[in-house]
Amino acid sequence: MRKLLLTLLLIIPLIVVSQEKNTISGTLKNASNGETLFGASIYLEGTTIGVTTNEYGFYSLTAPKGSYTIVITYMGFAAIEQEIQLDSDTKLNFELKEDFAQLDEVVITTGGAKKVNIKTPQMSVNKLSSKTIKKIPTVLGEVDIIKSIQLFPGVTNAGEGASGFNVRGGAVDQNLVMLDEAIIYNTSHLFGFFSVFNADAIKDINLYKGGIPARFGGRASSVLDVRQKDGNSKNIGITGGVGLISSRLAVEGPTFKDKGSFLLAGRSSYANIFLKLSDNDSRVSFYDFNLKTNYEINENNRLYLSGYFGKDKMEFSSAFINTYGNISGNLRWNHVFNDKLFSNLSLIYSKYNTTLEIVDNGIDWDSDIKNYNLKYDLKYYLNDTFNFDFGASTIKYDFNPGLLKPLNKNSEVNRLKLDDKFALESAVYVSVKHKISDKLRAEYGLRYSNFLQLGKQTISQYENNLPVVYNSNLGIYQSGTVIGETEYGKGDVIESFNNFEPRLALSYQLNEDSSIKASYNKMSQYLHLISNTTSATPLDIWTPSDTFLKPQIANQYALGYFRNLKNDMFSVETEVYYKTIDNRVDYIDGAALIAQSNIETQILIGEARSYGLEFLFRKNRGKFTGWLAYTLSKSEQKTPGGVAGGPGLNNGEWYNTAYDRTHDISITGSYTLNDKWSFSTNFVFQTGRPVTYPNGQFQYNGLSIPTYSNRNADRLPAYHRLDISATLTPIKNKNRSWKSEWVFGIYNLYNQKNAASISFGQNSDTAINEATKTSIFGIMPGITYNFKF
Amino acid sequence: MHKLYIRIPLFFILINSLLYSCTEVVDVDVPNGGERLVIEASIDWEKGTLGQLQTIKLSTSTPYFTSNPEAPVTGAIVTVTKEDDGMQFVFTDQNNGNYITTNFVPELNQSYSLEIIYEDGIYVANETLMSVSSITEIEQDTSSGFSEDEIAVTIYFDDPVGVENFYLGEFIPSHSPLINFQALNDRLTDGNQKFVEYNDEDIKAGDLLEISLLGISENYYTYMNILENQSGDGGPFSTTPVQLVGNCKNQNNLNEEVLGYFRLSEVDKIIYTIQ
Repeated sequence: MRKLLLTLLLIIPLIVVSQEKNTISGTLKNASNGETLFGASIYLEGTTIGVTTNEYGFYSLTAPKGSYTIVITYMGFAAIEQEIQLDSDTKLNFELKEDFAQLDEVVITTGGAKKVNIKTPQMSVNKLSSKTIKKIPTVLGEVDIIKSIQLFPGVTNAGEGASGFNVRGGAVDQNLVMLDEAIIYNTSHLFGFFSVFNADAIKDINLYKGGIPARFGGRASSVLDVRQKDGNSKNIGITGGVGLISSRLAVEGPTFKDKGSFLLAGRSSYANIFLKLSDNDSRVSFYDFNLKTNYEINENNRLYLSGYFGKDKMEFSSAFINTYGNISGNLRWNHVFNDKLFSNLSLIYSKYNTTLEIVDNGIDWDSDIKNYNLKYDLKYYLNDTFNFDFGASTIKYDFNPGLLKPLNKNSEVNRLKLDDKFALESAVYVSVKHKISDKLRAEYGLRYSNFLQLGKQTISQYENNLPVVYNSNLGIYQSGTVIGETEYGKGDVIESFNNFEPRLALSYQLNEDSSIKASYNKMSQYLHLISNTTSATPLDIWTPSDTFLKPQIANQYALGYFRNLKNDMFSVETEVYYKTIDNRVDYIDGAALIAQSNIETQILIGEARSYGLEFLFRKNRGKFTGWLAYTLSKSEQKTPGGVAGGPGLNNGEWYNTAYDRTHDISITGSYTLNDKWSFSTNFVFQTGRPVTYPNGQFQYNGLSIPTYSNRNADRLPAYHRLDISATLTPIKNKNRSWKSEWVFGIYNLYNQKNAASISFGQNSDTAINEATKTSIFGIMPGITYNFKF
Repeated sequence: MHKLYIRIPLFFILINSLLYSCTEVVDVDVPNGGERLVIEASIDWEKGTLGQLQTIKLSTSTPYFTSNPEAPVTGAIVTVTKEDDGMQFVFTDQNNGNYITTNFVPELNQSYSLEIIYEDGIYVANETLMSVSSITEIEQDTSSGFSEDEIAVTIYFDDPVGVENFYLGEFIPSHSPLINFQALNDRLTDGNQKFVEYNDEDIKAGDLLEISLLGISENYYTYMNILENQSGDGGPFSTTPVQLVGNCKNQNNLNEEVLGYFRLSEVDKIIYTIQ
């Protein structure tokens, strides 16, 4: 791994042909708070020379000697145009001013609209700034990043109150969610009602749905890259808010004698946030903290430290107590070797744990997953034609699948410690941005990943090597017979997997305003979330790939057409994709997954595929901005019997995944009336979730029992709702440092009783069969007060 | 509801219901899988009895929403054979879907086979008569559960150590038409005192509760566990319902979906009056 890196470092300078060329490099920041800007575009007007800033705001571009106009644009900021005379290597740092366009002016000029970047080969990415997210109406006014990204095409979830999200027909566990590069294993507070990200601490998010660059790996379907703010490096600032669910407070400011800045943000729900709970002693609460600080050692070296800590606690009449939460930390060192070579070294820790106490049964249940991640990423801005990204990473995982403890002497259960599991996931990658011609650009790369399942662990051996067998007499799948055990010592390699993951993205510019793009990516996923419920639960266990549970391998192809219209006033993005996933797990009927050491005895290995058409139309500027997203898609799964024999699940035929949505439409709009009032709305329409309805009943044991057949062949009624919100910014704000705003919102304005589920059972008085619909959110008004000074 | 496996899904259902959700009865178009034969061959040997009188019920399935869910099957020939000595018990057709024998010989841990000849099919199944521990204690409690006033009745029994055991707890209340049953195993509780609990907000003093504890086989446990989960609430934390596959197969058509089960259980039964 190290050798490969060294070789790359040695080779790259050899292909430098830089006579008569000079390099401009530097950092881009927000003028008002000193936050670095990621993804801003910098180009030399009248040429095809241009780059975008990296995650740390750094850029570097190389051009022949001469005089140019350098243009810098970034969404929501006023563009900068500056004449430069390039006759030596130059360091140029820029600060962009936020675009507070005066609304009473007739023409609003915004240099950096949210137009689609038609030049870069990168496709299938949705970006959101914290500012945009905060405008979107939400349940009870609680700003929610995970809900916001579901307004983009190709992103859904299993329903209201369900945790996580699904990208292009992929499962919840197939998203790599990173908060300042640290892996977040559960994105939900309160099982999915809210997300773990505090919008006050977040700078921006990027969701990669396809064409995933080689620097990312480890999950099959998507990457959600969430970046925390660095903290205001110019002034001390306090922001906060009081809502119906929670209150927030964030403090940020310069520190280390203006050599750095910090941000400290906290959010806490109220002890008894739900009215329905107020008449008994049940409690539901959550809180989270975000920390970020950075220190500039000198012009070429900077340190960053970020941290997150969040926790949920639910207590029901002291019968159940459930807690869960993520904790993460990341220490980073940015080092600029020279004006062409940028590097970042990260040391990351993250952990997710859950506990459950069931008082009556005397059960105490604990499980967690921890990882330590060392990562080194470099960017080499060779010349106008080639840029390189390369690096390496290694992640050590410690899994504690569960410890079951009796709470007291009278407890029903025996102490049970499931075997800890260990794994090491390493990767090296190189990715090349290549301007083949003025119109044709490519980004191609290769990631090589290796996964080691490590001891100490005891592995069961099964008769005929079959952990699951098909009982053809009964027609059911059953656990195989354990015939022995193999003990592996600490650090022993139990199983090893290697994968080459090629990535390719191309863009061809048709004219000034439009382009077509195509991409292919292969992704390997070595971790699996063991869950057979419709929606993931906090008690679900992450488990590493092993002898029986092979890594999930995704192959995705996407093709798109991108166009900016009317001088970037509008933009259109259309994509089609096709994705296959090998080694997708499903569960045998009646699988016992709780406190299960031998998960392999409860699963069958299958495959998944999804395909779809996505359409995104945006209005980027003006008093009214917003977007319309439409997705037509299919997501299905097949689980044949394989080596276990038998027909498999659903007779070995394809069946819909729980997150298959044929149609998914979202319209999001925001209208600024004047300095005082602005309004937002969104409308969502989706095909109902696939479910299995009974196809008959029979009388058995004194009850009417429903019979079921084809898995997920039916559907809940279509889901739709309309939300609105209004933001009032008092005029008196203008001339004082205390700035405030009121956000009034109504979620599900026309009180649509959307079905979260429909269950079938007998009426408890009449014993007649009936179907009962459960809906989660009816009309939900919300109000939030935000302040800043 | 005292069972770890049901407790955890129940926990999520509670969260749903406590937080926001509202429920209403709705009309739903459901598919119709057609008529299937239902075999309710439950041989229950109550402790302290001879167990000679046994009934097997045959019916067909009906559409899920129907005004007449009773569809008895008559004209079948039903026999059970005790496998060690070949003793045969013929169950006579009562022309109402019930088939009865009065000379059954139950024997613990003994294997029995069932044969039903009906129309073109020969339906067969094998099962073992499973023993059960005695109910050691019964307890009525009012403060358990989620609502303070709810009455809860709990039975206790001792799980034999070192062997895998599977149980079915059954509660037949006099105040409600709905029977409550819970399938249990001892995977995490081997050798301990175990319990099954019944609670209902409508049950009151004077109501009767017929409580049975049955010993069952592992395969029947799996069957009843799926059946139990699928006849309850289906929230976002429920599992996808699946076809229930019992142990009765048509020898002339192995792919025919046959509903129901052939089970043989020792039963400890108590009739309890709510205090």
